[in-house]
Amino acid sequence: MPVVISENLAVLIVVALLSAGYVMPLLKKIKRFRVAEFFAVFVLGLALSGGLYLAREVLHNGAFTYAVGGWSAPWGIELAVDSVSGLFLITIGLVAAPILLWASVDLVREVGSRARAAWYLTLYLLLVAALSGLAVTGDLFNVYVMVEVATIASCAIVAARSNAVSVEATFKYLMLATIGSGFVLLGIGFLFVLTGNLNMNFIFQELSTSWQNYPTALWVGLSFFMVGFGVKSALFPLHVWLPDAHSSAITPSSAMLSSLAVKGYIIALLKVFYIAVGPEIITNLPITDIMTLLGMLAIVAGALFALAQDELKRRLAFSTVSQVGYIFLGIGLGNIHGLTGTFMHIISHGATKALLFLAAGAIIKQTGKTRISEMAGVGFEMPVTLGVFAVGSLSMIGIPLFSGFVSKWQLLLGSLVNRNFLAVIVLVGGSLLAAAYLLPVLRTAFFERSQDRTVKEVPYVQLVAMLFLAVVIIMVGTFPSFVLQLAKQAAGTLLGLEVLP
Amino acid sequence: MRDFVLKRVVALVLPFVTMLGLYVIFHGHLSPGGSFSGGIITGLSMIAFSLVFGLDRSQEKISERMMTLIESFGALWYGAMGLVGILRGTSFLMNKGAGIPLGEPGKLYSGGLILLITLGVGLKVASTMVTLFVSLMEEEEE
Amino acid sequence: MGEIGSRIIQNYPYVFALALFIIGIYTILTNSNLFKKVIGINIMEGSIYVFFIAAGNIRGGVAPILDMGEPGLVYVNPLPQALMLTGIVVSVSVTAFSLALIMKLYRFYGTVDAREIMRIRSEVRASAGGN
Repeated sequence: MPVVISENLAVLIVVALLSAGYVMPLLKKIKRFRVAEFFAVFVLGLALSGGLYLAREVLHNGAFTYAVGGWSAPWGIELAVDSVSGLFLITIGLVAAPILLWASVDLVREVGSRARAAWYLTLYLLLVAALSGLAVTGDLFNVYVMVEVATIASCAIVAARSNAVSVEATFKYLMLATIGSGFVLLGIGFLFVLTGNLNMNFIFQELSTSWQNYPTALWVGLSFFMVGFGVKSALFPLHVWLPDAHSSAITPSSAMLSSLAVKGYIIALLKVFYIAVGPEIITNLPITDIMTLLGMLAIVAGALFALAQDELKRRLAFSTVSQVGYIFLGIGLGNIHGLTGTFMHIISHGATKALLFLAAGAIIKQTGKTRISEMAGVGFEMPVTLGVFAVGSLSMIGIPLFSGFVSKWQLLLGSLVNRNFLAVIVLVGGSLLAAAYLLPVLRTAFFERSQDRTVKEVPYVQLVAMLFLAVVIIMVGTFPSFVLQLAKQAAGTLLGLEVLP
Repeated sequence: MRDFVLKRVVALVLPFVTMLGLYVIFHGHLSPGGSFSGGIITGLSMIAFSLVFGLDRSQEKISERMMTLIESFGALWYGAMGLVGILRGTSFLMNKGAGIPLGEPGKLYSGGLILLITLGVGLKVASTMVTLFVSLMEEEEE
Repeated sequence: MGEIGSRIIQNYPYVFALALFIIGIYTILTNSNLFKKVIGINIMEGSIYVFFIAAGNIRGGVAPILDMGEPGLVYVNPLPQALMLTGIVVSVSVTAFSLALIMKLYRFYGTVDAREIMRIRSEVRASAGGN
């Protein structure tokens, strides 16, 4: 790779995605709209290869910073590329590209017109750019900007199909997400007032010497972050917007939101809590206990809600609430295994939930049925789709050789190290509940006979997209070394530990 | 709304409002204001035009397609200006360090690339305001 | 009491920001009119602007434009102002977006009242389930 590109790769990924997003409206009049869609997929593929390159670089040579405009830290905006960024960039690339490939088959028909499809691609690329920006940023100013871009873009892709239910869900989502942004901004304000800086490293240095002088103010500021990011990432009692938004949006939007958008805010939360404020302060305040508690509540409550749903997409949406609980439980455990589990779960749940939503969307598109009880015998007509759905389900449950197992194993280790046996019970119980809400779908699809024999498998492009995600899940599950190493190093970065390769 | 006095007054005032907007954009690096405030003023002058003379008249002047073009151009222009620094072997958005002459402090040309960047952002903001207005108006008429 | 009173008077922008924030949140959460919810969002964001600008302000400071003629001027930190300018841009786009959504909702349901919309939806769902 030429030096010009490799040195500026961190900023180039974000800029390339943003620019590609703004090229899309210019392409709406071209003869074959598929060209625009494949161009977008191609740019996402480039972003993935850039992310892989950065991750390898970070693994071998350690973290580095990039001064935008040549202005170094306290004056300018700084990008901090570490293993957290590398891991999340890989997740984004691995998940966003197949979703868009899947969507490209009938995007124009789904959203209504070509102009709308072009804007949809713009918003999709803007969302991906904002999430990549969250991954590489080292500055709270940037965090705020990227969070806002991601919020508006993700609200807008929910409203892509303009019917009453999805517009209403979008409005609800927008209101709650804006309240969340307000809380995040107030939290940034508290950190700025306490330290006089917006750069994460400078806030860390400032706070590590002086936080004991005003613990209450710090505590209030961190609570604002907790609530703000909690609303946006659907932490259990604040999840009310998620089921409506994710089940009423078009399939690529729900896959994107469930698998990536929610995680972006968690990455931002991790950066604020562990890089800006620092692990010592976080573990001294009761904030980790609250996160553990809410995480466990989310695992159980989300799974129970999911069990009660008969609509397939709604069940998957509630399953996201439950799985976000695992991620927060890992953060709350606060040790190296817990955080490794968090990062592994970010990548594993990203791929798994995207796959499940895409498979669900394929079933709904081909059969026109949205309820699980109506899906009798679909497995015989759509064997590949239901096959990858089975892969996703097994990974979600945490069967060995699938990616979900790796993350849950790390979370189990983390809770055992902390001697938190309630968390162990919840983790195992959560897996059983996941089996209880996912396996009936397969049972209905494979072990019940249908009268309808006209259903066909989806086009091969969509099959390729889904098979790609299934392969990712199995590869991460069977050969986790590279990703696990990256996740361990990311956890080490957050805790301020040196993890040897 | 389609009032004679209103039309005359707006026709008289609008050129100056647009001028003010462009002035604020161009002097963003010298005085308070900049691309966002200037872009808003420029965009509002166009919105005022379509409020008084009707949406069709303003669409004749600048079509919606043109607005989309300007909007995309503004965003892409910003990225292109950032790449100048990279292409000259320094970092993204680098200005003086990339060997761009800064000019004399206090004069209009005294910020290197900043003037060009604010111009692009100003165009983007102005066209976005108009697009927002037009899409809300069309929503109502449907 | 006197000390706390004088502290409050000294830091009146923060008290003002807190009051506005609570008013904004209260408006969003309790009003069923969708337009009023959007107004509440704007009030809430306005309170955050007040908070940040007050935090970055120095009494007697001037705008941070380099003036060669007068050394020793106290400049106000431009960082919070830049952040708030971004915040204003964001709030403009959120407001525009939510207004567009409200217009769509009005076309679908013929009302901008959240409770009415809920009622209509549950009626539709009940009639669909009854068939």
